[in-house]
Amino acid sequence: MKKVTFTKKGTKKSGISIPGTQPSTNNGLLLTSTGIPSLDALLGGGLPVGTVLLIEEDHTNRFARIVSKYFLAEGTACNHGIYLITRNEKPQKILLQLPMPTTMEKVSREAGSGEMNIAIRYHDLPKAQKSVADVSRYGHHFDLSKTMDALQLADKEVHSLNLLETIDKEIKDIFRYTLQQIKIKIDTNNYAAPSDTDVGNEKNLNILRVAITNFGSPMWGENDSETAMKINKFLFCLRALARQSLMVCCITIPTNLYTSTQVETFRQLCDCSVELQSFEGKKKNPLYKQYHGLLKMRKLLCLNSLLPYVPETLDFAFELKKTKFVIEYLHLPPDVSDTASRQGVEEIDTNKVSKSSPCGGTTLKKDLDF
Amino acid sequence: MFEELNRLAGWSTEKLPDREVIFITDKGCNGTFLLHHFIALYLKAGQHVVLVTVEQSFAHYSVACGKLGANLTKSKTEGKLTHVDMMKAGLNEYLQESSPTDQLSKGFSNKTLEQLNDMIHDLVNSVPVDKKSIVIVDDLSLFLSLGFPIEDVITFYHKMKYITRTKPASFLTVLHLDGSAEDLPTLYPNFSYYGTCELKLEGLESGYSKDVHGTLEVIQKSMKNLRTVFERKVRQYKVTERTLHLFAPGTSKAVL
Repeated sequence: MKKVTFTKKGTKKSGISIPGTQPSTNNGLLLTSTGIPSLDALLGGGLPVGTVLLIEEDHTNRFARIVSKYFLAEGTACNHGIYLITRNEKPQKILLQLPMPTTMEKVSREAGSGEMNIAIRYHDLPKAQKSVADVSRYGHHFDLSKTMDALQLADKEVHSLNLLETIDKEIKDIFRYTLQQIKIKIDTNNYAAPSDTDVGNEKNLNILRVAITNFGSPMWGENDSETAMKINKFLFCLRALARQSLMVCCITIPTNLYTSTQVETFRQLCDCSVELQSFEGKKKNPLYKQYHGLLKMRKLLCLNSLLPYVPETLDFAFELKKTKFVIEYLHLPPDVSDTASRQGVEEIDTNKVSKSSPCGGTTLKKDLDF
Repeated sequence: MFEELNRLAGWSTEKLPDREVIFITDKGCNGTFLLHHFIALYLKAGQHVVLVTVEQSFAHYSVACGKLGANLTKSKTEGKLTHVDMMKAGLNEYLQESSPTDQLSKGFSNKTLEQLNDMIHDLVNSVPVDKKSIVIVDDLSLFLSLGFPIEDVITFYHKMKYITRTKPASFLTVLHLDGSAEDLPTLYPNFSYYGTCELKLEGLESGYSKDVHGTLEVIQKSMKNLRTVFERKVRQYKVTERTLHLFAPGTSKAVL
């Protein structure tokens, strides 16, 4: 692996080793796990240190919350510092519910045995990959049923900022205050990026993981264009701050409260954006039986290169298992006619729906027989 | 630097854009990769670059242009490249400002663009007379999202045009058309009024495709016989690790 020489302050670090991180092979970035190995694979190996990840919340916020918990739990598992900022609730509520890491299991390749004989014509084709990540090199799997209690968290660097407490204080601009607090945390706990002269001091370096949940919810301000502007400024400055320190941020925003153009600007101001759409409370398309929701990559991470890392497809579905958060490629149904493409999915849906209508209404399309 | 783009637009290391105001617009895709092309082009030609970064850090450009064969850190020490870090400046202003007045809409100060303009003027003036230079501002539309009034942005752009008139310098910037600022639609006509060359990028209407990333249109404005002439060339493009492939629409390798 090519060792990139140490670059200036305010840049991606390489040539330093911090536990829980690994350098990327071609971009000179220092990557760290998001806590979800499948998501790391979608990002091209992990989240680079110094970037801001935006999670666009699902409407009930169940899964975005879980993603934040994974993010923080990964931090504790790797002995990174974690900093949780909340305004909707007390941070302790989340911090006492962080999942416990299971022992690292390598995903076994079940299809290794030669028991099944596949037709000769398909022999040479690559095996279809269902799940996104095969072997996680440095991430952890977490067991959601077991949580880490306060005792286990005692020897980790856990910080939190409870913005509910500041409601009584007269703070004009809560966003600016939050960023100032983050900056103070970075300076006092030595998470700033080392400058060129400090090369020898590598052993003291550590990463700060900042998670902000429900950012931009009505508790932060009315959902109008003025708040959107403040959010823009905050995100811009947060990214600037992240670039010049050893920090990685995961922010969840309830984007259904903002207009699509405002959301588009939020995406532009973050480095990477992932949207979660859960199926809770909605009629589920039978195709998605085993999944809990859809995951869409809204902005791809493009750092230190001309083009971003693009996964094979941009549409995924996720499933929350007890010990894993699995993200899988959405497969198209098999080709049955000349016109089958994305429309294949829609056709099946309308067929099933019309079949179940009480009047047994006639369908205009023929039944697709699988 | 992208050979195919050079051939399309008529540029080369010998024939650099001369006193041009180039702006890149993108819709449905991201056109910032073109900036790396220009940085590499000018540095390879031995001319000067003034890089004002708003959207990304210097290291990003350094590594990305390294893939195109331009060494930014070396050029910086040699004095061929000057870097103005707006990200850091903005952050410092944001953190320090604890004004008691209700200046809620100003994260940066009003004077930021003016100061930037003066700084750029000084930097361009310090370039040796026989050398050409290019001023690259990462992303001018970002200023709108950050709350700057549109008049300031247009005034800045106009002053950059003035620089290209008085010095052998060109100006380049990016305008993202997918943003949320209400004033964004008025920015585009102003840019195109003062601009001499537009690189218009559009994502495919059918969505993302691995083989064709979108359409690239080069619109060059020139005066012929007292009339303004727009020369348009449309291609489809695909970005790879180190270069840009251009081909006539519909003739991507994947299709043929």
